[in-house]
Amino acid sequence: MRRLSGSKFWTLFIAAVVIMVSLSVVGCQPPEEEVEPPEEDPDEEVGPTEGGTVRIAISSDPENLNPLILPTGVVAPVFECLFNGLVRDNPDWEWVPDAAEDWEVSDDGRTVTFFLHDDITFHDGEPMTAHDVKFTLQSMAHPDYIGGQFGYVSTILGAEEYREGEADDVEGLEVIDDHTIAITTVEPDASIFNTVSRGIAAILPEHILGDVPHEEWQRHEFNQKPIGTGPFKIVEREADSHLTLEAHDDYFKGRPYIDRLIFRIGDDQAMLGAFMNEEVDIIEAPAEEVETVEDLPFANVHVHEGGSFNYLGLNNLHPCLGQPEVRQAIATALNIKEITATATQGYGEPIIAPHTPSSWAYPADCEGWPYDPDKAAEMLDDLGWEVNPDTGIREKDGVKMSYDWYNVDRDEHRRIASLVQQNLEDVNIELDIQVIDFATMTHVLLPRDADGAGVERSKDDFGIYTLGLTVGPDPQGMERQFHSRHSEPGGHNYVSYSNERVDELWGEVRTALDLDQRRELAQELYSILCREVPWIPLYATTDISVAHDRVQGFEPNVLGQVWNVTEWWVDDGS
Amino acid sequence: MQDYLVRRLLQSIPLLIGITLISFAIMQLAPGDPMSTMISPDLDMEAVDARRAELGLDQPIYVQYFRWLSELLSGNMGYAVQSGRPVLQMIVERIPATLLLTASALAFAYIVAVPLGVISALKQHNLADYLLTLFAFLGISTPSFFAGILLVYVFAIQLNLLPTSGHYSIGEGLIGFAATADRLRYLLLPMLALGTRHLAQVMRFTRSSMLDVLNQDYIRTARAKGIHERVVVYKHALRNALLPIVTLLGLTLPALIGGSFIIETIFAWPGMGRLGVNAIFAREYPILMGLNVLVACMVLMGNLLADVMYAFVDPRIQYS
Repeated sequence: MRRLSGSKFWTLFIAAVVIMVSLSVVGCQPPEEEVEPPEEDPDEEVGPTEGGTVRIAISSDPENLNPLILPTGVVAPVFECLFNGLVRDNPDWEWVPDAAEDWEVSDDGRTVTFFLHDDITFHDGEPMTAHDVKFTLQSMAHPDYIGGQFGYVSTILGAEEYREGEADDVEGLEVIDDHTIAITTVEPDASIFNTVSRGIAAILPEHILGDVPHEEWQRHEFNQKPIGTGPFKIVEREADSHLTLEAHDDYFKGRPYIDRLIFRIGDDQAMLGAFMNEEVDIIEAPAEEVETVEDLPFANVHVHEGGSFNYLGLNNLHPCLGQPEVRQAIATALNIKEITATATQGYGEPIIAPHTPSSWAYPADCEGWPYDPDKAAEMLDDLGWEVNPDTGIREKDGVKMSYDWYNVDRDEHRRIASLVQQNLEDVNIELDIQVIDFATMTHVLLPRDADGAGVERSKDDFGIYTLGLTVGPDPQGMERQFHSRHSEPGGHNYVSYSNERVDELWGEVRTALDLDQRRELAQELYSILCREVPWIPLYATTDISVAHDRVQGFEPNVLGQVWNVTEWWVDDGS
Repeated sequence: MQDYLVRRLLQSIPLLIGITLISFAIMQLAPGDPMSTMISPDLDMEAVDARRAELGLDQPIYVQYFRWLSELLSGNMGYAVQSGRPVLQMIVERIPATLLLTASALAFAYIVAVPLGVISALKQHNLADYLLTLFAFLGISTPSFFAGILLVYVFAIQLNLLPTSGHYSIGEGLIGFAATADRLRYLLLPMLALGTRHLAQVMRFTRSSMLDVLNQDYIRTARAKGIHERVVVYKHALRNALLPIVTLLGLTLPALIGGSFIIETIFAWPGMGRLGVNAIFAREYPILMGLNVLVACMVLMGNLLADVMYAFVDPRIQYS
């Protein structure tokens, strides 16, 4: 009897398993048809065709899609699809037309007149005009605006007055007609192009946001499903699952080939699995998984510059880091080639100045500090930092050469840490490694008191820290990190670097509108940074984008994956 | 019974407040606030401070806490720092996904575990018992994240039978039966990953509880009276053996929710667990506190439910 009941349970159990498996097999069939490998077509080049869906993996949900509200990094590819600026950057980091067909700089260099395309429409069908451009820029200067990007428009004539409530309008923003806008700055300002680019002041619809008080922007529903002018419009979103975009039929540069773009949201590892199973078409692969994806018959692997770099910040206020000569010796003690190879599994590029090497601002003629531990030790000996035979650590006037070293809790930075520590131990420098999370790091770099007010930086805040930094096309963005003005409490010159010539050069780079002149000035500036090493630059990052071969025209570069999304098309082999 | 329920519910109020107080305090211990994860050199610090003030982060902790508590009592869980969206709304839109996952994992665990536990007990020291015991220990000692990765590797990537992640085929526009079948395919792996551990636990529990009961005098009496073995096992033994299992059910609930934090991340499942994981890294206090309240309520309710069910299955237990 017992046996009977037992076997009945087994029967039930097996039946359940069979049902589950058959369910999975039955349900599996439709996608499998799609999975069929596309036929190779070696003899004939197939041109772009309209239609199809491309699925891109992103790592977290872009909860807020209003480009003027405190942005977070992951949304950049989504912005790129939804919005336009007056200008945009090209892969050589030059400004090229976007919503503006052309522009003209006045003789005194202070006024730039932008001529807009006359057939631009928002996703809801309303035409986009110069008034929308003015609205967008003026919003960034509004007294109640809390999106944190006033700095970009602060150089526009009358922006300060408007922000202070002393004017009803920003004087330097003049709408000449529906398709022409003149922007006047207080002084000639080359960074105005960055400000009006797609990455900063993406043009927003005045007919929707014009009536919304600025203090309500942060919580407005527009941020969930924004209306822009870009090649795609957002049609559906599900929190932490996906965003669906559809082609904007009236896109002024021509409708994109693909019909739909789906951003799937998931953890990197989950998305890697999804790619291997052909559930998503485009992912960013971690370096350690390159071999895995290369083996997939349908994968195209693109290795390209990531647009950011990693560096060691040296506290210039620290008693044994204040002298440029000491910093040079430390840089000489580091085997940056090996650090790069280890930290990035061979996918990074060592750098000698705090910028990405493909930029026109990167100093071509600076040698940096080639690895030479013996020379480093000698340099330190000559500076009076001699090894104390008892402790094995260098000392001078009773001060030990020992640093608190802060690292963000990331695999890559952990790999950097082990090598740097080894390198510095070789020249008798002691490091006390602290691994913290990013939020804690910001507290180390931007010291505050108990009430949250910024306090004066000091030698005790930190010795060294490791961080990554994403750089934009305009070197002006780095001014905040190296101008002595920004070492004030709350400023972003975390290492308290100060050099008069560098301060001067930032001003000169800003007011020079001619690219050749800017290049010369920026290179001089970066050469000084290379020589004085307020930061020890480590390496520029490399991104690995992997696409399914059904996606054609995918050419990721330093601008990211979707910069040319309008040129993509889908080849499903039919 | 009614009095008892009311008393228990009233008791849980100070408990809940205590839980929120402690978790609020613990969160403040970590340096850095929600704004600090957003800081970048491109941002004006003035604006960051303005946002801090707007969110009340510049206030002393006790002020922040009481402000949060009074808002909560009026049904407002606050607003997410990054998106500015109401926390309640963010949680509510993710509840269905989490509920589906945890409920099916729970159902799967119990439906499979109880019969297997009974078999294991009836066949004590037989091959079936040994195999099931082996399976149970494997299940208990395998962390759910590992089980999840293993399942994805085998069933999705190698065998290509099931999808690796997500909760339905996005953009396929499936309807009716096809849509349901599609969702079930996506549910299967995370459900197994989340449920297996509990399955193993419940099975062991059932087995020992069953063995315990089978050795009781009244079972021997029943058998001596010549009652059909099936009736002895199911009517006399199993019903009594289920008692501790019911308690376990109430306690499993919070563990399942905890497990869903990891499983939802592995399977890109758009539920509360993933919201929680992301909120931890982003220092989204409002979201974390919201989730905290919810999970605390579930734990308290789970315990209460277990106690109440106890009274139902065991008439000897009476609450007054």
